[in-house]
Amino acid sequence: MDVFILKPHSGVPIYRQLSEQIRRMAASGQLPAGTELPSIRDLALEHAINPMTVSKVYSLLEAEGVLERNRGKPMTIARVARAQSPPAKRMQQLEPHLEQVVLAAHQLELGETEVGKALRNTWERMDERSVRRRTGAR
Amino acid sequence: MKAVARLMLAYFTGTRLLLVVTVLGALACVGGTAALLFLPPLVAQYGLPSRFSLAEEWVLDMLPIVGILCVAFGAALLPTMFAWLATSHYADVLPYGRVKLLASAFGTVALVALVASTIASLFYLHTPIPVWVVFQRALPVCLVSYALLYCVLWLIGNSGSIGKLVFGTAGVVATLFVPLRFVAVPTTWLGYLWIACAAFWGAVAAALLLAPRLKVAVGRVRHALSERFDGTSYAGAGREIDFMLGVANPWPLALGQIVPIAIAAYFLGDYRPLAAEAPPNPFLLFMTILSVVQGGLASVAATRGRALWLRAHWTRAQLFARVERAFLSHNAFTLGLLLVALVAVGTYLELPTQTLAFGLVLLLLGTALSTYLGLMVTASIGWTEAALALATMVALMVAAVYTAAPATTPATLVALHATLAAAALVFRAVAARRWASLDWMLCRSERAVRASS
Amino acid sequence: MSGPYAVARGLGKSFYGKTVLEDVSFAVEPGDIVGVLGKNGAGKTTLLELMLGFTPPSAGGVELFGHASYRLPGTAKARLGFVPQQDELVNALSAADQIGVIASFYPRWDDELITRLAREWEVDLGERIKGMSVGQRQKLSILLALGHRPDLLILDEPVASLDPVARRQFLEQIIDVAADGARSVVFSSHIVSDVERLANKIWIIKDHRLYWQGDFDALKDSIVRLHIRAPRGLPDELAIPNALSVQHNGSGATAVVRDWSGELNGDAAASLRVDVEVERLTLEDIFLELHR
Repeated sequence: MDVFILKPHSGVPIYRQLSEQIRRMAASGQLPAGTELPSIRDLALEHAINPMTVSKVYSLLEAEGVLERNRGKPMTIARVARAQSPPAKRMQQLEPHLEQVVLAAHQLELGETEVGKALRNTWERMDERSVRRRTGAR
Repeated sequence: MKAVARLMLAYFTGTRLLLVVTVLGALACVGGTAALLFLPPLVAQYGLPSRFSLAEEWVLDMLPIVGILCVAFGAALLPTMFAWLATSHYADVLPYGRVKLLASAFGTVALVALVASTIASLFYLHTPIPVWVVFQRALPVCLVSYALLYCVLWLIGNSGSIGKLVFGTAGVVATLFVPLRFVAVPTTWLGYLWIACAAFWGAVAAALLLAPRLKVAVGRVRHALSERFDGTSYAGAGREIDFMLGVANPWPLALGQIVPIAIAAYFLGDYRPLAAEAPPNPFLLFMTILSVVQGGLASVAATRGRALWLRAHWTRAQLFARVERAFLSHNAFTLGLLLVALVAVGTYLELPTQTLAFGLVLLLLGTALSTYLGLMVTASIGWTEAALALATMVALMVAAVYTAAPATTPATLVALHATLAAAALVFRAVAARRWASLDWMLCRSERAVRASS
Repeated sequence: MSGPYAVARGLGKSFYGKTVLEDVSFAVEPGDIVGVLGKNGAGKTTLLELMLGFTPPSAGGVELFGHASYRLPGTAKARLGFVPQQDELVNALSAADQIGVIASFYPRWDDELITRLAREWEVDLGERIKGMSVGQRQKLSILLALGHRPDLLILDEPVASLDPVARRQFLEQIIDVAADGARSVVFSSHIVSDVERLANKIWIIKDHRLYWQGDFDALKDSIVRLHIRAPRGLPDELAIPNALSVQHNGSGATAVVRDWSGELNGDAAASLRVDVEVERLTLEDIFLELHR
């Protein structure tokens, strides 16, 4: 599956990169419910990463309810993934990105109001279509 | 079991050359055995009427012996692979590695010994000495002597230092002549032979199997020894060229020859063969072999010359001239000692003057031939070089036999020696031409050269 | 086998009075891929050889499959595979013969696997070993350790001479070995990026000891770089607990700490108003910081 972009040499542990991406894509519908995920071996081979990492991610997400394990068949995105994820929980995933924006703003010596205005502008600029194009959602 | 068989198969057929030698050897053994069994006795050499001419008899006599030698040398990979497996990590990683290795080594030597003993005893088929007696005595001796032969082959093939080469040549003596003594003297109790055999193989087994436990102790000994006996010693005088070629210090090699010569003299002093007639004293043969071995050092000259070439400002032709001079002066030293030894021992053994005189010339030729042959090796050792080396060796040995035989006329000897001298000059010319267009990319690393020799 | 494949307790080794390793303890569970890192001469090869039973320990012990590694029985050796740092091949043989000889020692040998890998890795089995390049020889050495499908595969710098394509193929094979969770791999390498991809456990040898022995993700969470910003300036002597290095720069400092707990404790945080940004490091950075 070539939707995942994993960077083993960034500071972020691979398991975290993978789990966040799966969570995000499941939540946004990019990976619709019922999509089959590759086997541990295949995913590990494709990205040349440790299979235990993949296994850890799958177990973690299964416990969270994002993934479903089917006997004898590969892991799938859980059907109720969307509904089970309240906005508050999804907002939690946005937190790290927000923190990065705030830190960058401090470095560039920009104030809160300015940043808020810029955010609104950017939101309007990027209409639905360009968002879909950028994230590759359906 | 299958590992043992697979190893033995690899020993005999691992390279194409060995495969050919083994097969030829096997065929020669079969043919030779058939000849010994079914043909009437070859008695023309004793002056009795026979169906065959002298020459034909000689060939039929040689056939099984050549067969044995080919089969023995056909397993020439045994020492290399034994050393490889015993000293690599694989000895500890492969299941039952050491045990199977030992079994394969013993199996190979036993096979060769059986063949050799059978054929050797068949030689006595038409004599009053019972075949079974000879076989009984030959087998334990062969079990030890062929094992020693492989040890020697390994030492010579791996001689990174002069010390090992010297021990190697001493080993040649042991393998060729010590057993003769025991087989030749019928009064030696059979039991001694088997005890010696058991002791030898017991020691080999103990060394191999207990090696892991002894590793610490052995390591310490090696550590101490290596700090003392380094191959190249800067204490001796010499120019840079000598150091690089490894011929800086000829004394160890020269003096080292004394040991095997002394041993040989002792054992051959009362050489009494079983047959009624006295064949020529093999002492000269042995000396010839020695003179050739030291020349073999030259085969690494080309590869080592690369370092010289990179440092010095000489042209290839000049390099060759200097290398040639270095080797000849080094070998002249050891040759000189050999000649002196020949004279001394020859007088002691009361060899005829003719033998002595021509023997001196022969040793000189032996050294020259092997040195130039070695210098000719400028690329990896191919079929031509191997064939030439073998042919030269055989020619020298034949010449040695003829020189030592009292019946040979001086004229024949002069002709023989002249031919050999001409051959030496030809080798020199070829070597010079090859060095003039030396391609160092083709000169494989020293290790590879040694491995293939 | 349910327990760990390899266990070491208080392992130590000295040569001629010089200590090479001391007080080394670890466990290799089925499915682990362990990366062993250390500077040249730190003792990586010694550690691996101790594991193999190639050399006896001077202190403590190491067990493989429940047996003391120094006295490993033949049946257990069939579950072990090893690739040495310098290839140990017989120059005179062809690659196929070399494989045949090694294969004959094992009760089971996967011919099909070896043939397929030889094809994928472009190793000509008919070629004489003495004519092979260093990279080919290394690939052959690796093949020799894979054929009997060992439960524990130990490799000492296996890819030092391989080009990036060959290295990637090798990585994929290692993943394949460990993927079913029943076989383990321990390998030492200078190519930190490979270790970063593959390993789930890291051993760092430093000062004759295992500086780190454990989960890779935990290592990345433990050793981090802090970017400290204090608008009012920082005192010259800043006491940061567990700091490996501290660098002052203008209005702040950069520090690399170990055992990062999530917040800056101690005098520094309490008395000053500081902004702390946590930067996670790559494995190579961690290694460099440790040896600064």
